[in-house]
Amino acid sequence: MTNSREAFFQRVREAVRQGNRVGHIPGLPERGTVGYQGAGEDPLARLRQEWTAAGGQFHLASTPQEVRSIVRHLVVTKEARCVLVGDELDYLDLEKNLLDCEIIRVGSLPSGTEREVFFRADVGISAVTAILAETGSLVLATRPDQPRSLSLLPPIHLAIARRDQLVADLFDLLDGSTPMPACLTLITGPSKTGDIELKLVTGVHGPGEVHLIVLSGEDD
Amino acid sequence: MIDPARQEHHDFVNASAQALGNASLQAALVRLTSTLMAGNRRGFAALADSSELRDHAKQIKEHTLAHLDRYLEQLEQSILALGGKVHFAADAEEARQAVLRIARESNCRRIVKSKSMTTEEIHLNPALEAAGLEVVETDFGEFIIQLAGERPSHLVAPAVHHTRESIARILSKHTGEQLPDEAGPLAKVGRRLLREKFAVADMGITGGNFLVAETGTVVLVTNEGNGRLTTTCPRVHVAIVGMEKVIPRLRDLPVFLKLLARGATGQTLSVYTTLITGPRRPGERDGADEFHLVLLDNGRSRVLATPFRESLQCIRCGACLNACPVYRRIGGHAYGGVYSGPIGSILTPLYGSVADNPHLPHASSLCGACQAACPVKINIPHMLIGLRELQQHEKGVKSRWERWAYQLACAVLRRPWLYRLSLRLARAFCWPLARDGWMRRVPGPVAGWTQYRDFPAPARRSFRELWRNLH
Repeated sequence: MTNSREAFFQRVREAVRQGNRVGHIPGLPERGTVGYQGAGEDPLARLRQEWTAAGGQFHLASTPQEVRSIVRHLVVTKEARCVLVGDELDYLDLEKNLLDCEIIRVGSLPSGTEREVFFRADVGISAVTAILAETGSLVLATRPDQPRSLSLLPPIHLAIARRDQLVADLFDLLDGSTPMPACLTLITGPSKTGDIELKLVTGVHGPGEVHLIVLSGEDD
Repeated sequence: MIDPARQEHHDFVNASAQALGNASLQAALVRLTSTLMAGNRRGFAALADSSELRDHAKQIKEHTLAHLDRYLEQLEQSILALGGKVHFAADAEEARQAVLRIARESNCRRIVKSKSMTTEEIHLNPALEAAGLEVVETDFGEFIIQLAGERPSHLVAPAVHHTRESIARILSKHTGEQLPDEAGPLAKVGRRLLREKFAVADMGITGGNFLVAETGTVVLVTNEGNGRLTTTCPRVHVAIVGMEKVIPRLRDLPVFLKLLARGATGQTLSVYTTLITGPRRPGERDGADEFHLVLLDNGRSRVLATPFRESLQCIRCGACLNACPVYRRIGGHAYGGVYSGPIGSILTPLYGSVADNPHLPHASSLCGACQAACPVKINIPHMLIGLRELQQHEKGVKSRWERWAYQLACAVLRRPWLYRLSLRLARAFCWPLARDGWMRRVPGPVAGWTQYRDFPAPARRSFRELWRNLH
């Protein structure tokens, strides 16, 4: 193990030395602004446009009450029986509107028993870490009660974001200023495959339907 | 051991002819490459300063490769600090052994894989199966390929050579049901079958699109979500990645993410971009408990020491395949290697040997479409010519006759009087064979030149003669 490591680095070091003799040795280029796209005049409109272009569904809500009714409408029309809810969504009091189906908060699951529920749930409802306007993406960092499965295993994923979580450009998001979580995922639309004659099919592995509800705040 | 990739090498011409005669493959290739190229053009057109960004990406890669030892050490330190493990593999055999060792020590029997060309390169699956482990490819296209016992024929669309009818046949045979040949229902069957595998798998194997030295992050870019499932459900995650995939900092990552999906399909971003930084943290409810990175050399350090180093900048988007007039006609399998298309024609001889792949440096018209399409502007034509030059120095590649012919040509071109004389001779020789200025067939040792195309006869008067008459 140690030997193969040493031999590995020895080879790389020698190769770097030989290869560098041939050409110049470039420095790491300054970032500057190259490639920065930003999100234009109206970042929310840009987000909506990119997100829907990728096949995602977009909803705007101005109050928690509105969020609840959008969620209720979706759960009822999809005839979902088991809804899984992540953390940071307590303020929405989702149970109040969803009396006729099983609502499970991830935080309430005894550790070690989650798996069965993750595989069984019809809808996963999660908060987000950020929403990215440039590419129309949801950004999710794992936390103890925001597991990766929440946005992955149920056939429908519903993400709830606040307007102040909007980030303009990928460079603003991955600027290295915050420590990395164990898993950071950018989601841009529903799961897709084109492996059968290039015909677009959604939901092959991940959710076939993704909804983003942006809570804009009452003064918007 | 017999290398399965090597078996087909001698028959490039035959395999190409077969591909050209396969009507459904021809239709599939046209559909795939035109759709992806149109996406590529649209994607880059929407990026304001795409040319500058591509230069920037290239500079980052050049810098990283010039200090690769340093960045790999930093990467290793970052991963160890997170509680992950790093394994160093000099070649395919060491990489396979590393995976087998991890499986043994962590007591894993059922393995799910997300799409990875690197694991194809090291022929991982047969080795795992021989050790009694179950391995399932979970990318839908790769799953079909695995059931059919084939190799992927495109970097991002591995099953492009299949039709929905053939996919329905393969899946029906596997499930014992009579499945309809429609994309939607077939994909649903795939989802159902593979979900069962994810639920019980204890090891997930992935590749990696990028490795971030600063943070110890492995970046996976997928559209289906199988990459996420592979790193979420099993308790052990093994990422097998070529060592050239490292980039210095997290803030360099957007540069490449903005280019990769656009180069591949024209998407601004693939559906899932997943950044895995070490094993699951305390209190988290899913994700792998163990994280292993297998860093693969397998010929890369040899390339790093040469002017072919530029080929290590490749981000595997497949744009050069889609742009290549040769790939677009013959598809991936005819090339005979794991990597196909223009970049494969460089990587296969470089990671293996030039002598084993004599046809590949010539499987190109050197039109330059690959370089124009490349998101990191790799000068592929230049390297193909470089490989042809290497062949000159290898014994037995060029026949003695051919070498003499070139020496004769050199002698003629160095002496103007001899050149003029031979031009006159060539004209006298060619004209009787030509019709309307074209020769359909030439005799003798140069007959090959007119086997697939007509050859232009020399002009009645050379440029020099015309020029002289003007003055």
